Amino acid sequence: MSAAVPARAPRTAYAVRDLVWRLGPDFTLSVPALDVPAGRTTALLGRSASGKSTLLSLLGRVEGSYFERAPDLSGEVWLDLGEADGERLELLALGERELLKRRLRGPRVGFVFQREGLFPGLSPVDNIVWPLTAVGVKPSDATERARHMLDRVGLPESRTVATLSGGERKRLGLARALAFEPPVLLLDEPLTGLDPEALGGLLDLLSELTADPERTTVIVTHQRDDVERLADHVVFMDRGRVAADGSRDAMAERLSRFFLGEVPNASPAPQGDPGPQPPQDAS
Amino acid sequence: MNPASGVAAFGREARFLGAVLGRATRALPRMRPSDYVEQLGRVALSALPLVGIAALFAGMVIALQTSLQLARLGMEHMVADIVSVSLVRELAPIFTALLMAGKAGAGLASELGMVTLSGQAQAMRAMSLDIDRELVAPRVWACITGTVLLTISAILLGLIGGMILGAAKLGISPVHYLNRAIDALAPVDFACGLLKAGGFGVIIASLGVAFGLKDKADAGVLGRHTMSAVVVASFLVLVSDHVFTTLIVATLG
Repeated sequence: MSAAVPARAPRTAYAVRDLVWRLGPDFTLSVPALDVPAGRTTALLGRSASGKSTLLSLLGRVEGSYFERAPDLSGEVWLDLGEADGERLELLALGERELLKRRLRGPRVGFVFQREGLFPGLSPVDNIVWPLTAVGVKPSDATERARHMLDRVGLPESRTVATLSGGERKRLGLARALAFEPPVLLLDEPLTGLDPEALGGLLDLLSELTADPERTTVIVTHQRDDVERLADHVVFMDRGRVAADGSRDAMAERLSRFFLGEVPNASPAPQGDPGPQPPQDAS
Repeated sequence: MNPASGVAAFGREARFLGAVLGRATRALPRMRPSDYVEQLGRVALSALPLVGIAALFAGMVIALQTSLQLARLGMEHMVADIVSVSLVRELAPIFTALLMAGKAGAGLASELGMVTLSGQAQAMRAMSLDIDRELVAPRVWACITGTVLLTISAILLGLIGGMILGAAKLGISPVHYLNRAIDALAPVDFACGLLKAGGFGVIIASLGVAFGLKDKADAGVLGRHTMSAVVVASFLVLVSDHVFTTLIVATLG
């Protein structure tokens, strides 16, 4: 935590500084500086395997392995949860035990994964109740919250996880993260694979949730509708680097070109740095 | 694999094992007793028929082989003494551990491997669920105590197997056989066998959990990790048997 803390006004929820993560000979995530505005929704856009999900995993501190800090990872990721929390944390300095003790992930930073990571042995209600009770929510309150969230995402309680379709699993994953009512929400392609009816309903729900000025949302998406309905701020990723970022209005032209298939390119790597090669398995 | 990378790989694996044991120990005060009992039932009860039948037949075979050798010396009456001591000190802990490596070790590695592969472990981290408390500690401690309990069962059933063989083939009355077996055993024999069983349990449990919770990209890796958990545990059980025996004999006599 040695570097200067980024400026407060206008408040940034996340401030990424000198972030470098070598994931192998073919891919390096390299983000010298990136600010994610607080109380807004930021869309991470780019080709598949451009580093969007990798960056999102670092913002949520769910990268790497259960056993150890990811090797070849350096830099800083500052999280400012606002005046009410009174905390500015350098997330990469926190170990798994410290993160667990602070109960940062879940109650304060919600994460929706591409692979939902549902617990197949539990009912949809218990998939939500178990994590809530584990962080101290009373079982009766947790059950009530779980039922409310399932209702909001349009999922019946009676189903078993094993019988859920891909779209329904997405909805349960979303309901589970939202049940914590976190001030920061990280969404990794939450609306892909949904049928048009479910998609419309969930987009309305996310639109309502992200309109809350107290909530910061970062969403990885390839969908034009998601960007137009949800995003205030846009970050284009390319080969592990930030190619461009700015408000949605300022990025309007690039956005139009992006959805026509023209992806902004990141600037070339500095001399002496071989830079990232076309990635194989990071996304 | 060159020697340097082999040593580095061994160091990495040893660190994983240390990490699992350290986490299981630190999480012990937080572990729910009900989780431990559930896992103990899964580990020990499910393996009991396999270990029990194996022990029964092993007891018979050892008694038969031993009696054939002793007959050449005219000492068949010693069969119960030799079978009981070898079962308690050596054979029951070893074959229970090898069976447990194949059953419980593979079960832990594949179950936790699916938890990792399906993204559940990552989702648990993302919701501040304590993986050490929920997954690691109950499984590690249940596997260790389960291995000890199953070794005790194997000793009892092995003795019964020897007793059956003695009565059927050698004409030794069951009461006489049991009396000789009990007279031949000293507390140090039980200490030696059960301490080894605990050590083997540590190896099987920590390897199963470590290979299960390692990152994996696909089902092929899960299969390889499961196989590695069994192979490495079996190998380490056999190697460490010598180490444990030397240490215990030096300490307890």
